[in-house]
Amino acid sequence: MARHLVIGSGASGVHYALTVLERGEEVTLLDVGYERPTASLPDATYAQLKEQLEDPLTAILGERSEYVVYPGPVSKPYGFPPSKGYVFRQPTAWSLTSRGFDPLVSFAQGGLAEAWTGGSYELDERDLAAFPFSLGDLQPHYATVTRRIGIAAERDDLERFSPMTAEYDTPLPLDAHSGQLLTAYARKRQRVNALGVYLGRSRVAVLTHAKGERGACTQLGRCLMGCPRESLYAPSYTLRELHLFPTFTYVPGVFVERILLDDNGSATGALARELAAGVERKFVADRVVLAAGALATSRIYLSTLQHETGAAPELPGLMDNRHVMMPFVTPSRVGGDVEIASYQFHHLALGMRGASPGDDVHGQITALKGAQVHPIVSTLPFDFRTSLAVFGRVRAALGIANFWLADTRRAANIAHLHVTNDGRHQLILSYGDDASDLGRTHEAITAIRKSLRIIGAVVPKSQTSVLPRGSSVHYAGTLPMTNEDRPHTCRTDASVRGFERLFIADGAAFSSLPAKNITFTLMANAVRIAHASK
Amino acid sequence: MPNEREVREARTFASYLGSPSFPSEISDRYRQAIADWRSGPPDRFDAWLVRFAATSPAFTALADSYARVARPYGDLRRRLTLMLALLETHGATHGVYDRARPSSAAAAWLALAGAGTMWALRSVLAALICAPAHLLLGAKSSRQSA
Repeated sequence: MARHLVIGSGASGVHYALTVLERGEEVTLLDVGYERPTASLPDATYAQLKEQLEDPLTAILGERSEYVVYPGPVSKPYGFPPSKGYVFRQPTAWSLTSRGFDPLVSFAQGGLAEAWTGGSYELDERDLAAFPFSLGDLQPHYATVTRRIGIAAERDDLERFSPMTAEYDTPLPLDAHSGQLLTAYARKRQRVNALGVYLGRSRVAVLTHAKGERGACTQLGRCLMGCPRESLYAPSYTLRELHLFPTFTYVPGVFVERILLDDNGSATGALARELAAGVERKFVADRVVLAAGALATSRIYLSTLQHETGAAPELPGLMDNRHVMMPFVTPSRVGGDVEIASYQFHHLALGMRGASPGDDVHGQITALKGAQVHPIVSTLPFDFRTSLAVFGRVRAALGIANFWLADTRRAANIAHLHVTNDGRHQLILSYGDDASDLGRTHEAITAIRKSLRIIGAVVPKSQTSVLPRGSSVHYAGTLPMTNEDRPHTCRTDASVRGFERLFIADGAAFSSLPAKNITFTLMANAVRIAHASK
Repeated sequence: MPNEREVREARTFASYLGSPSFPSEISDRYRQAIADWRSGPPDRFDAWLVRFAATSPAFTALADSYARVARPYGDLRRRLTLMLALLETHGATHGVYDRARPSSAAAAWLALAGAGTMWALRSVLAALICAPAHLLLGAKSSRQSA
């Protein structure tokens, strides 16, 4: 029976682990593992929560109101509440410096996908052009993941960008604003499509029917706080499922320093440090699987090389999606009503085909419903009193389109290691100032703005922002899968060249970064790798 | 009596933001958060703007109109953002903010036009009052720091 040592409990790690546990093998999962707090009043709507909690100010704004979103040069339409603090908490052992790149990392149980918005889209052949395996190798695993997590979806125009081979659940009921936009699109499809833009329903990892311990979405309006009914999928639910297997061992509270290698360069385990006691612990296994997220995985890999050779190389090719945020107003909805208690995130999605796969665009459209008022009102161009009056009248008409561009590996985007005076291994990310995709970004902005206009929404030009690098939260490509026999790359089965029995199951091994949200594909790819490890 | 002054200021700002009541927890949280920000002597004009705004809700409206243009990320705008966050979160006051104001489209557009006109008039008045103070205190600050 093979013993697998999995590092990290994010989307990739838990689905790799579940797949090998299901065939009776042994898994030890090492994790920093900050825990999700228990949700209060799980059946209360967001408004009821404010009325029924003993101390809503602490629950929603933090003990010292530190979660208030203040106005600043970069406007943020929302902030994460304290209940999501565990997702972004960092151990002191972790050290990161970045230039031209502003990444988020997570050491939570479940990783960054504990704070995702559930967008789940199968990739197509075009998205996988740079990968050393075919769509047929991946598709069966989309079906497995869909069965495990539950995804609500509908067949529509977006199928031309994202196939629907898995078994999907019925979609969520549309909110009125999204419904109006979709109806307008159905009437004016040809004009929108002529701009290269296609619209459809978001495919989201939200249950519309109960599944095990998880309840169906009842529209509480608490999505951003963390769904108390667990309708919106998070990898920590799969982690909980792993505990049901007698061959599973979970070791939280440890920070992995490096991989242990034998004299032949084969991975034999990992060296980790207990966060509480500070002592080192060794874990041995037949296979070591890095699934800590692209950035943390890169650090562990570089630290291993630093220890073995005395010098760590630079890893080129770090990728992230260019992210554009485009608020809009639908004038015909001014004066309309809003259902505050409703599913908060996106109901609509959009796709655009570029000249090459690296030029593709994927987006999600969210109509404003229940939301914190102060981050929005403080950015309106009036005094607060006028802004509140205006906001009350136009709330039903507001929405936001977020869209992302695909990315390809570029030599100027580098991850490397710096050993500090106190011996700590600091990850340094240098993002080259490559503006070659800005032309395509502005083409996409123009096409999407015109498309929204055609279906009745107006985009104030000054409000559209191209966000800083790293804000897409999708990072990939430092140790890519390729058929070329080069150092610091992975084979098709995600085994790392030069190190036997070492595998990379997360985005670090991605050969390119599609525009579509990659979390669903991270899970499916981890299942594929687990099957290949038989 | 800095506490009393801050409580009065908080009450004035809550009233300006349309709150139907003023629970004591909001006042406590407001003072605590402001104490956490303080790292040095405040900018003279910012400090004047806050004092002027705290006089009454009508003065808050004038100071806020000016601050939105001249000090969009300054102390007054931060204090008002904090107060709004507290009001929209507290169980006794959130109802005013957690809703749309549905009406016929015509009534909504009329209300927007009215709000816009009032804002424009208020902005002119605010500039007449606040701009001289801004010039004077801004110049004093520059001389002191030179």
